[in-house]
Amino acid sequence: MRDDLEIQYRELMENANSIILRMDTKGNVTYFNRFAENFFGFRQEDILGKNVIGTIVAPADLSGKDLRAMIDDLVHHPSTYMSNENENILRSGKRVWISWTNKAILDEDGRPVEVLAIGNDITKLKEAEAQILKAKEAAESANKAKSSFLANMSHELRTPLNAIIGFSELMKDGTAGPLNEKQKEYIGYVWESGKHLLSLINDILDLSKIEAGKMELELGEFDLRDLIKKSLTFVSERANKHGISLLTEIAGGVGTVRADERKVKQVVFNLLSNAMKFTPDGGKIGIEAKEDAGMVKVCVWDTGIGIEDSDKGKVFSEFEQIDSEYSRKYAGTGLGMPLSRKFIELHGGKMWFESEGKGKGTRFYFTLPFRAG
Amino acid sequence: MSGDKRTILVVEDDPLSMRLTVDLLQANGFNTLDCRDGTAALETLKASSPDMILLDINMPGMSGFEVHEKIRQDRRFDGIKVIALSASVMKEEEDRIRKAGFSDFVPKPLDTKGLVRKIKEYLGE
Repeated sequence: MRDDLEIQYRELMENANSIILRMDTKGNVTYFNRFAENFFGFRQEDILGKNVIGTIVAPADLSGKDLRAMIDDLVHHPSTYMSNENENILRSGKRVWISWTNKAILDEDGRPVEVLAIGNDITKLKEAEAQILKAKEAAESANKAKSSFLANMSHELRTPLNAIIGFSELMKDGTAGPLNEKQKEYIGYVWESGKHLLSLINDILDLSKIEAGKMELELGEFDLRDLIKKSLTFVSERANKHGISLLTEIAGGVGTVRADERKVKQVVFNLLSNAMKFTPDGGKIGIEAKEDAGMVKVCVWDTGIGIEDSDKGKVFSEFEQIDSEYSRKYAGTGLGMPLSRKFIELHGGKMWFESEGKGKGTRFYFTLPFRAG
Repeated sequence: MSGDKRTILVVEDDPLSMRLTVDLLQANGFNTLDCRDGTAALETLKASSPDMILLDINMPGMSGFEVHEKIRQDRRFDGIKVIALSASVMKEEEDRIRKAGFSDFVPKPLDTKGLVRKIKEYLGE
């Protein structure tokens, strides 16, 4: 009965689709199944009694790890190597990776006499892993190259812009002597275009920083009411000139918030100047702020030209500007809205809009946590 | 009357930026000294003592940071305000400028009126 069982086991080990071997406490091979023979290229008679080091294990792996020391440790403490991945070597010299399960075989007194090792070839998996790692490193270094390219480009573009904006500013101010009306008009265009180009460069740099996950919020406490009031003064002159009335409604609960003041200001200013851009003379623009579901909810609304359904998808797209006589008159960078939404999202808020259609005005909303970060 | 004029040393490698800053300062009643690099600036400081220094950060050879450090090591220049000018607006550089102990930082392209206002404030005018 016992013999039958042993024959069955032996059959099983011989024909298993895994490497099965045993070695003694010196690392000498005492058993080597058929699969192992085919896999490593050693016949039983070639390897039995020989040490694993120098046959199926190289003294060191390709990374330089000392495998002789590892085998020495393994035969004495198999339990710490119960599941182990290491490099092996075929008779042909080819290096392979094998995932091993090691188990101590004890004598009657419980002392380890041999190690039973069952292994599966994971070379392809390891190669794929290495390739993924390589691809990841390549992507990271490309991303780094892109960031440093953008930083350099931004610096290189700013230097000639310093001359364009600076000299036209001096001429415009009359520092270089009096100008006639046409000269004043033309130099004004040079100055405005230079400024426009500068905001484009700034916006592109900000967007690429966000995309690279490098945009950091500079969090601080400030009064949102003050920020809204100050932002209104920036557009009040233009509003007066065009007979547009500005309305403000800030609820009592809105006060100090913790957020990136500069970015929130940029968002509010962008929404207000957009409202101004698309509201005909004599219209109304308003800004409201209140507490809503634990967040501050801000709405900038106008009685302007509204947004048609077919244009609604363009609002937060980069470089998409809705064409109208108003947008042509006050061209923006085409990056203001996508950038604003990303600034708000970085804070953990949301931005969206509602418009009932052409001529019916627009309401832009954003939410901001009271304490971001 | 020209003896009452304040003198500002401009250290800048880009010729057009130099011309712009120098013309702006002169138009606003300042005397100017101009140097194209850090070595020339340190040489100039041996012979004259300006009331203020406008120092470009990105220059070939000695950077604005190195020039600033050398100026700050010399006790004779303790009273001179040094304002950093830079066309780089990366946050890392701005942080580095603030840490280095410059009196102030002005980004390029220059806001000409803003720069003049700032200089006058620092000189107590």
